[in-house]
Amino acid sequence: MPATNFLEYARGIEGVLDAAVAAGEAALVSIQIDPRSALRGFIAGVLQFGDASELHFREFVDTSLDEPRFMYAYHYQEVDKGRIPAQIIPSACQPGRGENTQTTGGLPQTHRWLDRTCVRRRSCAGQGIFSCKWRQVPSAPGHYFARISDGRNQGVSDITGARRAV
Amino acid sequence: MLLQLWQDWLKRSLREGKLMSVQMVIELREKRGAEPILQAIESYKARLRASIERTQRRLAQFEQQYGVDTAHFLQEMTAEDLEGGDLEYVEWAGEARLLEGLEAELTELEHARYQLP
Repeated sequence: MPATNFLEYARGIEGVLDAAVAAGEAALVSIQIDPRSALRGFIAGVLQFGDASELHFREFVDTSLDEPRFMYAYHYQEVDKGRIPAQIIPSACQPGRGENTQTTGGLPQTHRWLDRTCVRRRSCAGQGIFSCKWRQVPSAPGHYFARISDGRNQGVSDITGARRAV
Repeated sequence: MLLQLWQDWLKRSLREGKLMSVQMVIELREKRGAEPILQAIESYKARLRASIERTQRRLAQFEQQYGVDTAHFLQEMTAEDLEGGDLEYVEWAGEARLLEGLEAELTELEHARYQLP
């Protein structure tokens, strides 16, 4: 059942993250839960993996919407703080959902992990302001990128599929 | 289950503009029981106003940093225009959209009418 208020949603996220930590998949470095109203708020945090790389995440939430997480970002940082391209994953980009989604032969490991930990139980009705198309990188089989478009400026960002197995 | 179905229907109807207004009836044992409810609504409105101010301050920080207003940012700029790239784009655009929602929530409550017998 989807969350009916922001704190319930945030508890759900905390529960999923706690489970990931308990399973030894990652360590939770920090989490910020910032309710702005009963329905809406902001969640930010940092997860650290065994090799000391980090995942910085942000979620803007509106539980009055069918897809509460209306805008969010995941940003991986390597051990040496060199940055893998930041990832904007709007609702319309979820694997296997929506007309714009293409999943020829699988998705990057990071997206599978995010799907498992953050979005698995929620629907993806394409409520995000973006759309995206997944494309396989011709020169690098098994690697993917997503072209993000906000409907006004084509190609707001290209997401390169991170290759980390979490 | 029934409550969830009703909530879904209400959300959908409000979003699609099918409902002009909604009446909510709260039954109390005594008339004086209404006072705490009205106070709770006023407290919530005050909380919303504080959240709106805080969200506006966050937007102002971005606007000051880049020397453009949020409307210009949303219309004209992309993640490549920002020092923080995609992450910063999401934070700025997310705060802007959050503000719209908070203001709509407050407006809804400010237009609510209460009628006591």
